[in-house]
Formats: sequence, C-alpha cells, structure tokens
Amino acid sequence: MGQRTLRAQRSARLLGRGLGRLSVCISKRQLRVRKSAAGQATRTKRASRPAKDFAQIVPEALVEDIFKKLSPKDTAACGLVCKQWKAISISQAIWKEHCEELWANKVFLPSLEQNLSFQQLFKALLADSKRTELGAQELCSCQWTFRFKPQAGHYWTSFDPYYTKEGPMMQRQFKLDGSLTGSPAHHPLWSPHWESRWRFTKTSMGKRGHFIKVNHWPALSISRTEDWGWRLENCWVEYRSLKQKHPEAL
Amino acid sequence: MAGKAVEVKLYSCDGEDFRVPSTVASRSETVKNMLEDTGEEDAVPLPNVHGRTLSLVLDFCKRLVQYEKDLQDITEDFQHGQLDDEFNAWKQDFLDIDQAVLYELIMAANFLNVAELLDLCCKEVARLIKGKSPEEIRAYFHIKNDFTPQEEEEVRRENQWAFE
Repeated sequence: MGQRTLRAQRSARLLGRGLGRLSVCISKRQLRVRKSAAGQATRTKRASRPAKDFAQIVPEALVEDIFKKLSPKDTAACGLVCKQWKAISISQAIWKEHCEELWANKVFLPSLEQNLSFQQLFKALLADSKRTELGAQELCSCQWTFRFKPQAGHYWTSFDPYYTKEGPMMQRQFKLDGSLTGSPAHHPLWSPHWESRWRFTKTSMGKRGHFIKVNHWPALSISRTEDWGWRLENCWVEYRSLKQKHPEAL
Repeated sequence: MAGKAVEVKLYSCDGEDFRVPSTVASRSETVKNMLEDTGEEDAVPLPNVHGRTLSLVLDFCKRLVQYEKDLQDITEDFQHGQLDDEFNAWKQDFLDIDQAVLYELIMAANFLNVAELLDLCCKEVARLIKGKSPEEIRAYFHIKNDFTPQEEEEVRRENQWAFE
C-alpha cells in the first residue's frame, strides 16, 4: 500500500514537471505530411526550412545530452558558437565522459595538478601525451619490458625470450639510487658481471635532447607510443613501459 | 493477461485519443509508471505532448517493440544483422522530419522517458553539428555570435588544441 502511494506521488510529480514546462506546439506547415503504407512522400523536405537554434527551444539538460553525442573536437567547436552554447559545452558531465574515453586504453597517465575541471584535464592529458621528457620518479615508477633489436646480433638475441619464445619478455626496473635490475632474476644478462647503472644525459652522438644512458651503452632516446606509453631505445635495445594502474585521484 | 494484448488509451494535450497495446505504451517509462499506479483501464492524460508528436513517439515505440520481438524469434546469427539493418533503415526514414519536429520529439521523448528515442534524436541533432566549424554551426542554426572579439579570441585560445 505504502509503495503504491509512493509511486502515485512520483507520477504526479512527473506530470507536474511536464505541465510546468512550456509545450511548444508546431504549426501544421512545419509538420511533414506522413504518408502511410508506401512511404514515398509529399513531404516537406528537411532542408527547405531554415534550422533554428535548438538551445533556444529545448531545456539545457537536453542540449547537454546532445553535446554528449559529439566528439571532443566538435564539443570544442560548440564552445565557440555563442555564450549560451559555451556555458553548456564546458559541462563537467560532458568532459568527464570524454576524459574516461580518452584514458580508457592508455598505458601511462601523468600525475597532474588537482582541482582541474574535466575540460582542463582533457586538454592537459592530451598535451602530456606528446611530452618526451621523463622524470626520475616516473622512470622508476614504470615497469619496463626489455628486448634486443635484431641488429644487436645473434649473440644477444639468443639470450632474449622475445626471440627464443622461452617464457615472457624480460623486464627491467630503474631504481632511484641509479641502479637497474632485471627479471627473470636468474637470467645470465643480469649476472653481477653485467651490473647496470643508469643516468640522464643531454647529449647522444652529438645530438642534444633528453636521453637515458645505461652503463657505457649508446644513450636511449625517449619517445611515446600510440597508447601514451614510453619507449626508450637505441640501435640495439628497446624498453617499453607497461600499463600502469590508473591513479584513483583522476 | 498473458496471451491477450491489453489496449490502453492515451490522450494528448490537444485531446487526441490513441489506443495502443500496453506493451507499446509501456516503452515510455512515464506511461508505464502511470499505468502501474492507476491500472490499465483508465485513460492516461499526457498534458504536455501534442497529438502530432505523440503519434510519432508511438510509431517509434511500435517499431521498437516489433524489432525486439523479431530479435527473440530469430534462429540464425546472420538474421540479427539483417534486423538491425532494417530497423536502422526505418529510423532513417523516421528521422526525415523538419528540425522543429525533431526538437519537439526530443522534449517528448524526455518527458515520456523513452530512452531509445531520446538517444536517437539527440544523435540526429549531433549529426547536424558534426564536422562543422563554429562559423558554419552559427550559419546553419541561425545563431548570433554574442562574444566580443576579445572574448572570442580567449575561448579560441583555450580550445586551440581542437583546431590544430
């Protein structure tokens, strides 16, 4: 009984809300003539009447629903149309969806300043995905797969499960104390004989930039992958960052 | 109740009557709730939906119910795609309407809470915006640019990433 009353109240509310909203009636001319069975038409062609600004007609919440169907670029274009469109186009709900879609399959997300709106966050994430400067904290917080390139030669690739197919790819971990460890732990490559140290350097083979040097090997250049991961490589080896757990803060 | 299609009566703001199977009317969450409250014998008043719009909404609901019934009846996977194609073609034809009617439909779909129809109509308006520059959008929807040149410059700078 109680539930029934509740439901009755709810539908009364719904009805009230509907009544409160202005119902715009359409003139007969505007309504297309619907032909029944055959469907071919003595219809008013859509293009024959100029389009009106729907934001002047439908409530803002519905304009937001429409904007939600747009790509981030199209949403940004809407923000430049007029003040009213701009106000709706920067809605948190819209950009939260864009952000979630943006980072869904990405390997690496930067730690950004707090208190950004979702639109600002979207912009910052996009800009960061092109960054090729890597900080020590970031370098050491990522897990890295490691493989030799074929041009390293048979001696090295014969150690590498990437080629021998014996087990998963090798992994390496950069440590803040400047050391570099590897797994699987007992692999001959990481024997004490091959102890590794890393450091940042600003030049490589006469070129200036941001590089990472491991031992005396050619410096690793830093680049990004499609999925926002990091790639470190020189002529002989390639490191790739593994997918990180997305920080809850985002 | 099973086996026999129950008809319900809806009437629009301009007093037009519609008799439809309750399965069709119930695609509107709003109507469904009202039917649950008052029973299916009573006519349901829809005081802010015009008859012409309500007729379109009910056309959509009928076709949706038909599509879902067809889906249950199929035996082969490939028929699924075929049904989708048919429904999509129908939707395209359905959307061949004046913008004013489309906006009316959006408001009716929202009030009547027919999620699939609201989604379809919003996508259709979005389709009209897609790929247009701000200038083209203004021209298409007859919107006056009320930004000062400085304001516009500022917004353009904020959104620069989107225009690169």
